[in-house]
Amino acid sequence: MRYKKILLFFLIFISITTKTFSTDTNNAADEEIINSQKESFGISGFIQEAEQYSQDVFADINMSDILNSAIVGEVDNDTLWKKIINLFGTEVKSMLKVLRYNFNHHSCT
Amino acid sequence: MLKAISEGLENKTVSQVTYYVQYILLVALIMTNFSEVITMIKESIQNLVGFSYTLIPLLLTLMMTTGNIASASMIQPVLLILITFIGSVISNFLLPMVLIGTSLGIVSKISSRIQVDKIAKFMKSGVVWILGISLTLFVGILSLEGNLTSSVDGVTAKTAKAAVSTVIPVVGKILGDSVDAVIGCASILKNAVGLVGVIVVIAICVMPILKLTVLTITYYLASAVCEPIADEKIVSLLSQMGDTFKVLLAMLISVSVMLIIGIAIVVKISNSSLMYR
Repeated sequence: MRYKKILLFFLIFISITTKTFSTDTNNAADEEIINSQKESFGISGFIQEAEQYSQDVFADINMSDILNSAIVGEVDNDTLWKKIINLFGTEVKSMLKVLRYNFNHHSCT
Repeated sequence: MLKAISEGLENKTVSQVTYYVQYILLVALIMTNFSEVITMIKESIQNLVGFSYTLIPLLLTLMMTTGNIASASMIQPVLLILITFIGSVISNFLLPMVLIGTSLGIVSKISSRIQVDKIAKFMKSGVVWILGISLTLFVGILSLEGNLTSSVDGVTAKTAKAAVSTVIPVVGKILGDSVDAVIGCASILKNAVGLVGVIVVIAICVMPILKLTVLTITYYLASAVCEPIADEKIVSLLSQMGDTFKVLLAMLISVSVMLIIGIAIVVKISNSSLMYR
């Protein structure tokens, strides 16, 4: 009975560790394949170009980080939304300033 | 206040001349704003087309890596031609049309003798129609072509994998699995590149879109506030400028949505062919 328990425990242990090891190996292999594909397709050049176009609006957002997070499937949408809402707020503020300036200017004259 | 000054002058001719001067002053102020907006839109469209020249070849190469050779070769010319064509039509034809329409609208408000308001309205509605038709054609052609070829690619790749697995002895299955792994990784990379592309398109368009939205709201608000106190023609001018900014906003939103839909369709086509495996 005791031997059976030990054998069962041993079998469960072996199956769990093998599965974990195999998943890790698969992930590492996938990562390696993706990295080699990144190099061969010149993704870094594309990222540089993307940053050139987006630096005016998303200055502190790194496109390379976004690419990596997209590969893993964890893109941070909240930061992008916050940026866009901030921009909208800035635009509204500047427009209100212009309107206020014009109103004051005309009321003085 | 300006209206009161004009009306306060006893001489009718002098009063009319004063009104014209005021009107021209107001138009000059509006036009400074307007020319800045037009330049900004032109730049944005140029940037969008320029970026799509970088993104689309890369996306299509990644599509080919995932086994979608027929789809990529079918889509590439259509996609590039349509984007270039629509970009050129907007920059060289639709934007000048909006400019002419706005100028005619402004001229027709100066005096009640010259009336070219209908032509101005016709031009603006023409711009909206052309935009709508181009967008529909773009999405229609792209999705139709993609759906036609994606099943062909899926079946071809599945057959090739089955052949490799059965024909090659001993290592056939391992080879087939390796090919699957490489294709899967390329697909993940392609989806990620597509997402970066969408974010960059948003980054290029978001500022002009927000500016135009705020301007449109401001001009409509100004015309609404001025209605009880200002001259009818000036109120109508402000409202017309709001309409013009609305058309320009529609133009920019259409181009950006068109590109985002284009990227999404390209990514989706190659993903759907993977389902066959």
